[in-house]
Amino acid sequence: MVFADLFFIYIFLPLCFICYFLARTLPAKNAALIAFSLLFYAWGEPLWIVLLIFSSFLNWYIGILIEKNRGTGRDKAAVALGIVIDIALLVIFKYSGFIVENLNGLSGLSLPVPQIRMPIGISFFTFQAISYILDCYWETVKVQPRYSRFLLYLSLFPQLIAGPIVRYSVVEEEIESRSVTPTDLCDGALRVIVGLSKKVILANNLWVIVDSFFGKDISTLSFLGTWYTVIVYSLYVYFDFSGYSDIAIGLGRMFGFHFDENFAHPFACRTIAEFWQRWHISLGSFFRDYLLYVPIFGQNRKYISLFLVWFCTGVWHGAAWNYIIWGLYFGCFIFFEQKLGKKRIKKWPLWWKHIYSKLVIIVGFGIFYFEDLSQLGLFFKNITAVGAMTGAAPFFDPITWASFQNNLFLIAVSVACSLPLLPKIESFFLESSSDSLYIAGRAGSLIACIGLLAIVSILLVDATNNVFLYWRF
Amino acid sequence: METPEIKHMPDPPDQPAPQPRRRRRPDRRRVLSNRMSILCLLILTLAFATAAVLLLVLPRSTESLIEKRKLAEFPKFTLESYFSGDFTAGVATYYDDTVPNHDGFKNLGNSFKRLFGLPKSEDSVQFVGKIDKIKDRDQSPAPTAAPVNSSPDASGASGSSLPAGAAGRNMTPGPTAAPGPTADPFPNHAAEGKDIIENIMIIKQDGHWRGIEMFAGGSGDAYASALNDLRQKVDPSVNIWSMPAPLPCQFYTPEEYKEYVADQSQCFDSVHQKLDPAIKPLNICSALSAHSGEPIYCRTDHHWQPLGAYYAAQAFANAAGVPFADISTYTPKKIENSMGTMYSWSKSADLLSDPEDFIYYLPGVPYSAVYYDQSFNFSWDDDDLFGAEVPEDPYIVYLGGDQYIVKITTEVQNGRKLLVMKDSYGNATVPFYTSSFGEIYVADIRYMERNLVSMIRDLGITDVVFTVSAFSVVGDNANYIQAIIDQNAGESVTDPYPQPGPTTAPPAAGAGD
Repeated sequence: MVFADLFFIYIFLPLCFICYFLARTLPAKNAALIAFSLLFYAWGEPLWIVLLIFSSFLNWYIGILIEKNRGTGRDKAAVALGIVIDIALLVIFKYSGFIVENLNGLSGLSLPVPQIRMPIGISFFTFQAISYILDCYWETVKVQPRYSRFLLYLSLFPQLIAGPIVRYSVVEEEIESRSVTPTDLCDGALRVIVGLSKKVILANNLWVIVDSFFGKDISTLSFLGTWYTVIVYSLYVYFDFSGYSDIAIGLGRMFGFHFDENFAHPFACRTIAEFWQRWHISLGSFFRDYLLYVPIFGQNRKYISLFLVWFCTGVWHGAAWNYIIWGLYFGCFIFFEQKLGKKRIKKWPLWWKHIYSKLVIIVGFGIFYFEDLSQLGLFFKNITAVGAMTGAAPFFDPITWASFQNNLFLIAVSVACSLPLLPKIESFFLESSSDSLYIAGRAGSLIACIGLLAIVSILLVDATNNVFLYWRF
Repeated sequence: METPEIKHMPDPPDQPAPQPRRRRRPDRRRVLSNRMSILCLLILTLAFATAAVLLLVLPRSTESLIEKRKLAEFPKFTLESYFSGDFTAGVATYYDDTVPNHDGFKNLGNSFKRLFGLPKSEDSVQFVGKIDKIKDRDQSPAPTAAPVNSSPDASGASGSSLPAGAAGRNMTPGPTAAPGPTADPFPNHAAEGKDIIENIMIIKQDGHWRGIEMFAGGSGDAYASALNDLRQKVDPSVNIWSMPAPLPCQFYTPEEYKEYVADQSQCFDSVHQKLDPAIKPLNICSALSAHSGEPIYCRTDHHWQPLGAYYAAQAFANAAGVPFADISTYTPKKIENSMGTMYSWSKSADLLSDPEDFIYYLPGVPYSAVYYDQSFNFSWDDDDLFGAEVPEDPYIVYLGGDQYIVKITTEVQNGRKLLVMKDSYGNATVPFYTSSFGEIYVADIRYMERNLVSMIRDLGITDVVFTVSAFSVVGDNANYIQAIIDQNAGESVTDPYPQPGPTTAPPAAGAGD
């Protein structure tokens, strides 16, 4: 089931809320949430729900083993076992085809390529499970003795299939004791509507532009057309993914959970390091905490682990070489910024920092888009104007101009919404000492959100691109 | 502002430093905040619940006039469909697709999208689909394998140079059990699915919006080969004519976008050069071009207006040396505010805002019409070439769609019997032949189930004209011509209906419905 769907919004969600709020005790509320979470997952994955339940049980039991054998050395073995099984599942379901294809290519063998359909959200719930058992081992969280509570953590439908990667520590207390205030409900609902709007109004329509240019042979796509499309694609990915995160965070809040933010206006960054402090924060912090500082590389760990982290970041996004290139591409710029030093970068003019960071990010999204490496090569040819200089592609084309004119406001609104402008306007009203301004701010956001919900509902009747991009990760 | 510390992996974003609050009475604000939250929640819940209940209790839509299709049905539960995910997906699709007032919501949504761009002016243009320059497209010939007795392939996917679906644009579904032209409100396009939404240009010219498909060209080898084969198999005395119908992009594409569409006149000439010299080619591009200032093509549908078909029929009659009645002898009938396939395929709100009148012409001479199914079994004799008027699909007014073989008998006594082999483009030409030929048979190249050679021989046809659109000349549809030449070879064809005389006065449109 997807969030951006009338069935989810007007059937599943109301039923879930009715059952949840009719339940009086916390165990009953948790049971309702588990039931609806499993239904939510089984709706899209009737078969692989077995895998989700297996993974949750395994990791819960690993936690129990760690606790029982703490200090004996067996706890380390239990962690290792858990991680190996988790990663093995991920490799089997997500990477086996990619690995065999490359093995065949390198060795000349003709091993049968596994055709396994990847269970939705496996990357997210597997990483959550790994974070839990490592945190248990490091004693940063208490081991959860009840399986049902751990199942609730892992299967909680708001964040189950496309993140954010919620650490157990974030919801540990709220699983066992939480309350929902009217403010939680109201702010959560408004956040859900904002997320739906990002997806349905902005991302879906930005995708139409992207697909019309990148969805064909791009060998003759003009220089400016390539830039135009990749910029639009960057906005699309941001609104698609951050929209999903907004919905997840909003829904979580309506059930009394307070998830961490996953995006912090990444396009407002001035360096690549800062971009990754603002983009998919839960993934970045996962690698930082569980991979970067693991002392396994001795003296050289600083740089080896840096590139390992970025390799893993790339691989996590998909079983294709372009994702690995994409990850290492960012690793190179982080390395470059690190070698250059904070002081030197600080001296750069602000406009240069923005141009530098945006160029790197936007070209990066081009790498992210093209899984076909030959198309990626053409993309680089066109975006560097080599295609235009050699006559293979024009410098400009009227179709791009027509598309730009017909989507100017969509793009302008998207750019504005990608920057921290609206939060500033909101805080002007909500943090004002004047009650009138405060009330006007609350009323304005309510009216805007009701209008957005109406537009989203209307557009969903005709929507064809409702599956979120990050589903496939 | 300080640059955040540069690390090779992100830290959580800096939390904003606590702002010095200037609130005089923080407790009061908290109370106000709570009250506002409760009020907001009540209003939100009310709005949401109203929408949810209305969506649940109002009658669900079952068909879409603008999309010309029946909407999704509730899926049947089986264990197999459940475990494959088809059942659950089908339930959600059913709910989403059949929302009350489906078409109204779609039109609203499409209208909202007008806000995405600059206000439109004269010469504004929009593109739908993936547009390539013609010179860059693959010009490989269309496949020649003929799908014998197969159902029409609406995907349009082929090895030809056409964009996906383009070859199937004029296609209509195969014959159904429908007893008459009004049994199914969506006989056209229902089988075409989503593949048809490709490469459309929406332009504003002379104050009106026009949707036109972009023709990419192609070799037409299959078309030429099939006609040459037919020429070899029928009596040399039978005249075989090739009169392909150009698409509107030939006449209405603005100069700056010409490189994105193929020149159809050149394309037809190129195809005609491959024809047996005994086949008579007729390129009507210039004849239509002379009238491009008149409403010869629909602006909101992918077909031509009957006026365009009139000029095409006139060109053919002149070439064939048969009499031809001036359009002033016909009675015009108007389908007002029509909005055809160009809107449903492009979803352009600009087209929606600018409907057009579809004007068709009733012959001024007596005639009778007999309808047969595709196996040439008698269906009914309605004595009418025109059916129901559907503003959302105006072209369906002709011949009950494409599902029938039709025979028209007139008072013309020149010994000429015409067989019109056509796709839907050919339908609009048929009424204009009622003053030119004594008998006119009409059959669709895609659906006819009898042998074409036998039909020509046994029915005593003197002239065969192929009037199919440019897409059908270069695309998959051309393969059907070879198929109907080869299928049931050697059979004999007998008209199952007794020869009627011209018994009816000029009928009123829709009278038979």
